[in-house]
Amino acid sequence: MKLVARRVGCAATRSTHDKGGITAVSNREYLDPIFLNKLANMELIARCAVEGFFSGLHPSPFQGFSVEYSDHREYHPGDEVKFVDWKVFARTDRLCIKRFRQETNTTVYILLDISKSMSFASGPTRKIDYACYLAAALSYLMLKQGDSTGLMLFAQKVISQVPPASRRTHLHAILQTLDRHTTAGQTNLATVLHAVAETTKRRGLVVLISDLLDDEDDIFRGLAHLKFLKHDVIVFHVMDHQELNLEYEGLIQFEDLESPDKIRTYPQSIRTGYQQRVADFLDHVKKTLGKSRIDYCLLETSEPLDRAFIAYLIKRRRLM
Amino acid sequence: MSFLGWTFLFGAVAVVGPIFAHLLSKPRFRRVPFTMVRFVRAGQHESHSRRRLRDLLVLLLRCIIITLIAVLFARPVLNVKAAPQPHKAIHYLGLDDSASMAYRDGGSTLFERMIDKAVDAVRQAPGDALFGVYGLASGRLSEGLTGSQAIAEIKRLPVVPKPARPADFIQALRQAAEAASPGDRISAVALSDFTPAVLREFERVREPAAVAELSYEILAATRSVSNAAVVEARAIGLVENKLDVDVMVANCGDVEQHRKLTMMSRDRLPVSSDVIVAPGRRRLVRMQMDLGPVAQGATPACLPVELNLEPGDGLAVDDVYRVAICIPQTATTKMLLVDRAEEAFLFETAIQALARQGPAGTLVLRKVRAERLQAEDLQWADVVVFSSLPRDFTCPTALLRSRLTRGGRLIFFATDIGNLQVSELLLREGLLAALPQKWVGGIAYPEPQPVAGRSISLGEQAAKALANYRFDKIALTGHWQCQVPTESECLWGLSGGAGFVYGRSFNSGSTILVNTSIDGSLGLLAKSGAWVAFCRFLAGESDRVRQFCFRVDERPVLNLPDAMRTPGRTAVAIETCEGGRAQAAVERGRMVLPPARGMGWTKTLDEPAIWAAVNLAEGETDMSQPEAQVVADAMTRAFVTGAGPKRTTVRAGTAVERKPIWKGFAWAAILLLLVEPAIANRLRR
Repeated sequence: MKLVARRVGCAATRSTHDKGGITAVSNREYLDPIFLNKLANMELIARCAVEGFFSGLHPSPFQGFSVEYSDHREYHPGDEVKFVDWKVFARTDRLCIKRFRQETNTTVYILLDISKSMSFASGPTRKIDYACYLAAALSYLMLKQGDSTGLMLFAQKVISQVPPASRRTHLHAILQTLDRHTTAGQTNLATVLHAVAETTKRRGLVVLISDLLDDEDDIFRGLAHLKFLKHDVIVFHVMDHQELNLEYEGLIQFEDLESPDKIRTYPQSIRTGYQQRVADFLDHVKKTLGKSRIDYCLLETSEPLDRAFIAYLIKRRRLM
Repeated sequence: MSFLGWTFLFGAVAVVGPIFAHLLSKPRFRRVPFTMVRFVRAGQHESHSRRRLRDLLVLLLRCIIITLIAVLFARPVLNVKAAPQPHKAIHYLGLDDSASMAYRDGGSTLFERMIDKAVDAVRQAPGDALFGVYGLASGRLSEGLTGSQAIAEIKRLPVVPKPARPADFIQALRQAAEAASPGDRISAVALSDFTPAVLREFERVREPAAVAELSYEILAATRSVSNAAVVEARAIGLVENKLDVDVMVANCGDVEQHRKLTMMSRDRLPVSSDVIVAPGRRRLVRMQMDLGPVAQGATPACLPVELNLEPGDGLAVDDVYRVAICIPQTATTKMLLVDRAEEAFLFETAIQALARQGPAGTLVLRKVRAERLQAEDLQWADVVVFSSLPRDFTCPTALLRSRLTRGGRLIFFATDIGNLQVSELLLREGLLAALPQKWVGGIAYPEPQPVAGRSISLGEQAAKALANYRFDKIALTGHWQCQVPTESECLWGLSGGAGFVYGRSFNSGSTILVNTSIDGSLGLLAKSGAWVAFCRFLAGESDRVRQFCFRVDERPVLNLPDAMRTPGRTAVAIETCEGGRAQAAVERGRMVLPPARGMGWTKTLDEPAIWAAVNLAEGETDMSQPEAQVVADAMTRAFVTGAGPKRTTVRAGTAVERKPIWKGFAWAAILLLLVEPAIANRLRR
């Protein structure tokens, strides 16, 4: 891991982002889904993605908050002197290190769509893989920042879930769940969102990672339900390049992944209309979610993950 | 619209090809799992229907192209009502430009007078009239001429040494009448001297020409006709190296002729003789020319002989007659006739006649009975003639073989089959050309022409004589089918497939079998006019005086001399009558000379030169004044004046003009063929 971090740090191509007051210089190659796709270990993927993102950050306002005294332990050579509790030393003449317990700032519910449509890929990266990288990286980031993080995998209904927790070791459970998933079934976002809204006791941040291939009104109703319960919601809309552009050639029989529906056509003849309809759809989603103060981030599977991180961090800062 | 070649319209059935291809074709597609099918479907309905429409459009385009091509081949024409055209007056002038028109009557020739009259006729015609000028002898036709053009064409007409052929003029008139527009008025003008030869040609007209108006004029001499001509010359024989030639002089006029006939040849002294011929009579004059020692040679020579009548008369062109005479080797031919009874007496008579024709002592005949045939007889004879196949043959066959190898001839008449064993022996020894084996009952006539043999061929004279001879059908009861060895050849076939004359060469000699079984006896053939010529062939063609003489309207055909017979030879270089060079085609052992365009000499360029004379047709010399009624009758037979019934029927009803419209179809097909790939490609997108 160190080796990877060092290599990434050396080869870092520094670029500047000015997004919501956050100035970040990140290693975008490190966030590239194609690169991440080569890493077989989900934890490694998450750490690479997040640390790659943070490796170029300037001193940020996110450091040092939410720490609470836990206990003392005996000083061992090598411990930093600044953590020595001099008051205890004055009272007991022993060198003790003051230990802190990080507090959970917020509860994050990651809702990951694992319906059959998420298995689509026109390039090397499937949408579900991209979504998993994103979920893993976000989980890592959230847990690292002390947020209580939970994961729900859903299709027509919630298939598996990891309850929110803020332990560092909780990441392992999340990653294991991500590893074990298989795409199946149709998307039924409304049901899932209503179920999530009804089962979450504490308001928090709901991160929805999906391709949103469901009835738009149902989706909006479900998200509105979450908003009604004072949840903050971020929607990561994962789309493939071909889904956005339909750049196929020749006579193609399109077979729906979630239904027996199939259609044979020359895509070149309907491409313009298709792109227009998709653009209308995305615009409608974006506007409708924007009205509900729901953050919306469209992600193409060929893009690096940093846009998602930035969106998350902006949202989180707003929460603090 | 109608079609000139409507059967090509069936080609339009080919449109079923693209239609079947369209119905049966399954487009190749790629399966792609996809998520946003509902977005695709939203635009697909429009696309699918449009694609079907586009496919149908492409199909329609291809069907149209195929149909257009079929229609194009069918050559469509548009039947439109023809615009009324002004009626034309067309005058056809049939002008006699044959040799007899060169007769000079006083200060001008008949031809010059005819030209003047023809020009007058043209000038008297209406200014908008059209003319056709036809040379009756030359066959030269010019149509659609204006007055000035017609006059120029008339003045260009020459006198040609050919007989007039008015039948061709009548034919040209009929064609012109069929091609003319309704209402056109076709009139014919015939100007000729109407000699008996011309009138004979008019009588040959089978289908008259329908003309609106006919006028003719007899161009006769104003004074008594003074014309004598040499109409024939025949070499009779060579006696003591002196060539005898019989010359026929005809008085074709009305004045008694006192003329001097001169016979000339190269390097020989001319021979003259005074001739007096009464009007309308003929006179045979025998001329004799001393050939001198030059003719005494082993190689036959060809001698061009020219006969000239002096002084000149009204028609000079027939005062000269040419004949090429082939002088044979003057060795004596000894013939032995072997017969059983007196059945060969006609052959004997024919040979005696031939012997009289030839130089004295050149043909000697001895007759012997078959049972008394001795070896000495065979040793003596050059040509041995068996009147029938021998029943017994006691002489050694080697004797006959030795005669053959030394250039002798064996002749067998297969009237009787004789003794089969003897015949088989002769066949095995190669002395018999064919062996009669099987009697066939069907009637078989000799073929019209002999077969060109590889080494032996029937002479021209014999071939002509036999071709003219008609076997009496009653006498034909059957014939012998012969076994023919591979060395032998059939020289003259029968219609049933059997042979009439078989020959087999034996070094320089030959053996010949005549299948006279076809008429049951030798008598019928022997009594015919062909007999002497045939016997001349049997005795040996080379041993007689021959002559080569053709009419100007004949195609000269000569036997190819042995010296020129080389394998693979297809042509012989010749000099034509006009002095030019040409090639005579070699066909089946004969030289076929190109048609002569004038009178004179033609000869081979290879030595020894073979000469051939080309003379005026005999009828052209007859300048007898025609009777007006005879000419009128001939004109009535040849022309139908007024509206011809056939023409009226054909041209009845509304005049319809056919306008070809296939050009438009062709351009449309080409255009569609060019744009079809682009359109198909564009629509498929």
